[in-house]
Amino acid sequence: MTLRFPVLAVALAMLAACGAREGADEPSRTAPGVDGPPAASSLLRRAISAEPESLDPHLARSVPATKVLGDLFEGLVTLGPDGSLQAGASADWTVSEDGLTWTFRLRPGLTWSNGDPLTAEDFVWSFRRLVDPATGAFYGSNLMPLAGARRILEGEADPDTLGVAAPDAGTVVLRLAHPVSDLLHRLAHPSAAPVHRASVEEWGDDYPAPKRLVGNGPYRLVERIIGGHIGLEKNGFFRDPVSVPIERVRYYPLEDEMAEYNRYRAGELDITARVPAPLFRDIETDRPRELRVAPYLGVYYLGFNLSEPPFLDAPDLRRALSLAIDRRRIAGTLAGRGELPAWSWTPPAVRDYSPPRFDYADKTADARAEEARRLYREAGYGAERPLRFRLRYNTSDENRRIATALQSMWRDVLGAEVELVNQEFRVLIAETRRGDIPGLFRGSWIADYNDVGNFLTVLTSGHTANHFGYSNPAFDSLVAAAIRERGDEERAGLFANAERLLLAEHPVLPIFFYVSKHLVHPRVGGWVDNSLDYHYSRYLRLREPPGDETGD
Amino acid sequence: MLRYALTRLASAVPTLLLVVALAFVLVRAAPGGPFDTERRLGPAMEQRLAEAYHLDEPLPRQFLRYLGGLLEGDFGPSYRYRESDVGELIAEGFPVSLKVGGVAMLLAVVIGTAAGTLAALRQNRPTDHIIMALSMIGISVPNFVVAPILVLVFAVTLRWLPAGDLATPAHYILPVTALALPQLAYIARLTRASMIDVLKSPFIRTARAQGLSERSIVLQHALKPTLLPVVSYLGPATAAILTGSVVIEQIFNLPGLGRFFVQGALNRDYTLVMGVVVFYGALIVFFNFVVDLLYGLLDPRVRYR
Repeated sequence: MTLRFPVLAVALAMLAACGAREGADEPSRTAPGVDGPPAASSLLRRAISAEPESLDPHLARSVPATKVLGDLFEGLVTLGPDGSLQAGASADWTVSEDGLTWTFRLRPGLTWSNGDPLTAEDFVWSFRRLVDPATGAFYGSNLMPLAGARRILEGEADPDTLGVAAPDAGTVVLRLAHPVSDLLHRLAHPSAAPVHRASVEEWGDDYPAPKRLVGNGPYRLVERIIGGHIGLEKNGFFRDPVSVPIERVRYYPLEDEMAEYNRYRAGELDITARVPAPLFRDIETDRPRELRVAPYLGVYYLGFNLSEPPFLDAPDLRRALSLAIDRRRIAGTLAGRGELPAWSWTPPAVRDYSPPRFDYADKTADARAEEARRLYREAGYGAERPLRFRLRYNTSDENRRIATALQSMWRDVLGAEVELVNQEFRVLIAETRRGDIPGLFRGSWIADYNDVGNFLTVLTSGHTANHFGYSNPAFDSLVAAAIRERGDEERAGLFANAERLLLAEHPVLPIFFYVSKHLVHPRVGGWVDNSLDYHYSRYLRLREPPGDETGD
Repeated sequence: MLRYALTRLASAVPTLLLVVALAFVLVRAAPGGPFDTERRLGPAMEQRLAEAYHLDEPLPRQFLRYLGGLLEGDFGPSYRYRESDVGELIAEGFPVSLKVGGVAMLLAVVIGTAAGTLAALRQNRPTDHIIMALSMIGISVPNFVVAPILVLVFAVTLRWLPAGDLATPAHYILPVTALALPQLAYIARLTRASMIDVLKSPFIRTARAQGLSERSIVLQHALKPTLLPVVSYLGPATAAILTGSVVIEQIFNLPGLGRFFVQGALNRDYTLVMGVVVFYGALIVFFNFVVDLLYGLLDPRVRYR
């Protein structure tokens, strides 16, 4: 019996059609995703770890968003390929004798990406928008040193009272509430970029879309598919377009790190945002020249709830818990991607500062364990009365592994009974914010700009990220003095004193310092590892033919 | 028939209302809010944001506000993607899910019924065993295993097909295959079981007795009633596949609807989650309705009242 089914025939025809399409697509194999004539070499394909929530420099707050913004906008100052400060829209600036007035001269002939002239007035308007509570900008606090900023941010003063002025079209004057030496670093953050007033006023919140978004950076936005990609093209109106070698850039938001790695392996990405943890060792062996691991300005920590027992007023007990942690094992084996054990709150990678370390940093594990046990006993705990508390962490493989290791370290060294609680990120955040977490919680702090102050201010009383309830007037006044100090060495010294105080009290347990990790294809040149992990596309170039030489 | 259709459509309204109400309560019951971050925004700014999104109002009032918006076709602004409305996000994501899911569903139905019929006609012979073994694998191996394997083989190792994105038709092959396989396998099994049943029924025996050719028996008499269980499965399956598969969309970086669902929930993007739920609910109701109508065409015993 032979049956010929029309359905089957249709199905086969469809399969055949698929096959034909695949064949027809063959010539563009080198760069899938390229639709159009430009050669693959003029397109840079980069991954970011999530979809940016906004491309408005004032509303964006996530790391992936700031990466894209660095290509679309440029502030008065900007960051170089190595993350160091560089002149941006302003070529030179002067500081008054008392350190309170900063005068920035704009480069002549600056224009927006639509050809409109870019003037000092644009910066004035943008800075006011950034601190206006009605904008809801996450990074408004970066302008805190400016006169009037604090009261505006608290909703008590009009944004017009901000200490920024434009005496003429080519000059921006910033008036500070007190002298600070990290102002330029704050201004290099993508949030301090100017935004195009006419577009914002015409389109409102909808302005950061292709054809509407007007920027002043090396690239302009031409395409945005949420969940797909963000397409940029060289901005012909950029102040120095000749210095930008790559014509087009595409950012792919890829949440799944395995999918990201596979796309890199399939030749569809030039730069990844991460490296999948389970494959890290293999990648280290197989692709040593493509793997870029560098110290990053971020710390993985455990925070105490200092407002209730057992950790309220118990610095020795907190020290005992810290002593019992084998940081080298956690950083080396459990994080395992080149992370450094944290013996201080501020990472050593921060510029112009070498952080003091816990006084037991160089002791042997045995000596540490012995001291830990002694302090634990002195605090009134022991085999018959073990310390019981909860450790909360947001759900992720890495956090689970580390929490389990901590639990067993505390049990083995001290005999403490720790209950692990994993929670969804938002739940953990909501509870830490309410001070609702008894015991310990897992957290991380990533610097916005390269300065020790960006780490130490977190622990000052009432800081918006001080979820520990830590409040020490001596620490606060040292940090306050350091912020106002203009001499570099004196400033570092004051911060170091503050950090020493902090380390002695153990309000928070730094565990390890993060590293940035990327795969960078050999055809990409100009990549320089840096601790802020900013790699603006304008500094990169594409080499041909692919696969020549790695590294610069 | 028309009266039946109208009654069915009218009964969809309370169903959807219930879906909206339940989703609203569940989404709001989850701890943590859309603007909670590691670092607080400061009271003045949080106050402004709450006012701008009406989060400071009592919940029942917010619910009525949301319903009012829905009636006007307004899904509200996304809390996470500040430059987009939920309506816009769905309008951008749905065509992608529709294209990928539609092709996958078509393939699944066509190949699935063909394979199932073939297996039924060769019952307990090698062809049947092979088809059923393959379909068992298809059903039991989940998407998140199949998709990376396809990527590893065809994109990474052989470099025949792209691993992600949707720029050219070639980009569709892997995600469509991964999405179609489990559906195809399930439909093949449904078809086989149903066809075996139908072939045993008296009217087929009668047709055989009348000397009709095997081909005309299967195609003209047996196939239509065989498809009944398949069609009833298709309603919810199509709705599910069209609203996007989260796994497939993440692995292939497709800008479809599915990931809005998951990301929206994780980000406490209330309006986005609600929007996708309402849209999904409406689709299910719609496809079930279509299935009920199709029944009448396939089975002469069904009468609409």
